[in-house]
Amino acid sequence: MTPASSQLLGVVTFIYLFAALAYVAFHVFQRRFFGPAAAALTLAALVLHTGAILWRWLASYQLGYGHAPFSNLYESLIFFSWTVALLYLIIERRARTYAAGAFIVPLAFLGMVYAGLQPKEIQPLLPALKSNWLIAHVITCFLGYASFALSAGLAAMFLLLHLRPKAGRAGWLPQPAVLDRLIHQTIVFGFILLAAGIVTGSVWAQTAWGRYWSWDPKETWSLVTWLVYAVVLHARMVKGWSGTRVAVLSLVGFGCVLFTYFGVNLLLSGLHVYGR
Amino acid sequence: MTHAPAAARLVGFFSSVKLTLVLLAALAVASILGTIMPQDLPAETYVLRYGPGLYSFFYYLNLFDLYHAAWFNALLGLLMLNLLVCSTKRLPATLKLARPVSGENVRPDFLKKQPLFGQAFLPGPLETVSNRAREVFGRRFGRLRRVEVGWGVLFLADRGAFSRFGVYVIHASLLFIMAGAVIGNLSGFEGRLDLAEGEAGDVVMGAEQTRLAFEVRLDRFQVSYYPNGAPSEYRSDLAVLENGREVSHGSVRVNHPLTHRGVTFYQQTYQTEIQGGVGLRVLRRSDGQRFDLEVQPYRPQPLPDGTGQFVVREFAHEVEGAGGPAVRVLVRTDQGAEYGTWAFENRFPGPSGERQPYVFELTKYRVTSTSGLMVRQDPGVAVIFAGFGLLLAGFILTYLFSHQKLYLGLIEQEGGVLVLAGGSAHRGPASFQARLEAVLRRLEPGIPTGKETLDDPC
Repeated sequence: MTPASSQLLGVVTFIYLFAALAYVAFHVFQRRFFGPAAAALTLAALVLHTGAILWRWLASYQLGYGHAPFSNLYESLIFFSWTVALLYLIIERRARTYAAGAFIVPLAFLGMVYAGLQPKEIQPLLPALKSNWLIAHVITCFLGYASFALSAGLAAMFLLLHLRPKAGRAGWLPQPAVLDRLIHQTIVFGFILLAAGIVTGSVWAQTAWGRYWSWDPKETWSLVTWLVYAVVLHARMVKGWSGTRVAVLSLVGFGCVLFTYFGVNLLLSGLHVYGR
Repeated sequence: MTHAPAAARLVGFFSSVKLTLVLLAALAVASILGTIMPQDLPAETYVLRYGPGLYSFFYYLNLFDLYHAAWFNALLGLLMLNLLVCSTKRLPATLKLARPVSGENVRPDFLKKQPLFGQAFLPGPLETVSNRAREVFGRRFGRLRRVEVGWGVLFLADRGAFSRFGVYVIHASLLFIMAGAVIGNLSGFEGRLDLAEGEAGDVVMGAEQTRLAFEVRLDRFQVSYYPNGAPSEYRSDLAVLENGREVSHGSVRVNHPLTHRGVTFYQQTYQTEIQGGVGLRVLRRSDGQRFDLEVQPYRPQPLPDGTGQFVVREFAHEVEGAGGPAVRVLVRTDQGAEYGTWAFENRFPGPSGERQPYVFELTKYRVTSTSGLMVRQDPGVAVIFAGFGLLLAGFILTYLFSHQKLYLGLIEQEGGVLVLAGGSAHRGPASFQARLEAVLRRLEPGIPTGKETLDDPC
């Protein structure tokens, strides 16, 4: 039986779609009106989204096996989209530009669509997942993933501006230097949160499996992702890399994030089978 | 080109960030390779897949146990050496940057040359203006220290110097983590201890056999289930015995290991086996006739009316969706019917057994469970966890704080006081500049001028 909260999440998916379209319209028609309208839609979606996650959490307790809604692919995708929307709205406020929404809010929408294709029942927790580390591990990892998603969206926008230099001079688009700084800041935040995610995962693995590190494909790919962003940060801080090179590396890094999240489960086998 | 002495060149090589980037990229590529190439399979599988020639080549490169290969560990070792040499080389410069400034020799030009700068002109006598400036600036930039200089009054604020060392803490944490891994490889052990209920043991089977300094006894093994039949908990109740005397007891569940004298026990597997004879009631569907019998499990038995055979197989605490406990019974009749069915305790199976000519009910049984415990001692774990703590602390120091220096100069001029505010922030210079301008505006609206320079790419 599909929980009622999932129907609300279906509505949320459509609001994200309209928000994404409004952000694209902001670019296409270059009318100021679309920016605040898109932001309002995103905020509305995020509020309902938050409510739906809490609702599902509560519903699991009413079923008698309550647990945080982080236990399978459906729940993780819902949470991923939530973190993307949340971080995006924070960045939008701080950077005072609506231009990046067209590159980021579609990611939240796509996450919700993919979630919509998964089984939605609330299942009791497997013994292996019954741990307080579950919440810390999932929240840190997904904040990291979402931050990298933002940096990739910003990087895509930067590269498009770079390809059409005239676009950068339009008043309604952020300056490349501003974008460059945002890309860097989102990478730093993601890097720290992914480190925290790996650390919490490692401590958890030590209590669950007796091994803090097993070279399981999920672990290995999270490390690969971390190494790629470590390259970006060192190249920037010490070698002064910025602009196009960092933007391209940010896209490569996000490719690693996507592989860690989806590719490992689809193509490789290992201990992290919960995400299927 | 000048020829530096060999030692200096070596230090130069090992401290270069180019080496860091190459090593990070190489480790990333190698790690990916290890996820594509299945690890630790039997040799025959690889030979079948790659052919003998390619197999020997891959074997020579240690690709089948890549993460433990000498060359992979050499890459990790090189990265640690690189990090150590690079950090050591940079530390003196950082110490110099972090040193507090005395201020006596600071000239007004020095203030104007600061990466972040603003100025204002305020009417009033020097002492009044300086008291007000000290109060307003102090609120946003921390405690101001007054220095007497020949050309006027100088205030200094210097805070967050420790933030410059965050990156060293991060690098040190990685050394801790690697050191912990090495300690774990050189000492400690890992193995299995299988205990049946009531059994005590102290020999752990691993790569080599380890005898513990104490004995562990399994008092009870239990599996509990959710209403839908999925397992909710595996639990071993253990007692620790020293010299035959029970010194402590506790339970081991998944995610809740038990540690005694540095040795940790983890719930890994279990097996439940039937002990002795099994009592069954057989129902012959054709005429409703029932037979009571007691049989040995795992051995073929004739059906009570002699028209076929059956065998009692594994025991199950819970049959998914159908309850439990139960034993599996396989039946073969002389008419050629062949099927498996569950014999539940004190009841015949429901509708699922309707088309089976014989169904069974479990009337008497005895089982014992064997719990498979993973046993591990790893003195490196504490070092690694310390490294984890340092890593996160290092990130907080590095990115949540910033080393900020403020020089506030007041020069008495005709009709008032010229206020020069210059400074630097090693992180977040934009917010520092914004604060500088806001404070100058508060001193007297409308006057501030500042230049937009960002000295720090971070």
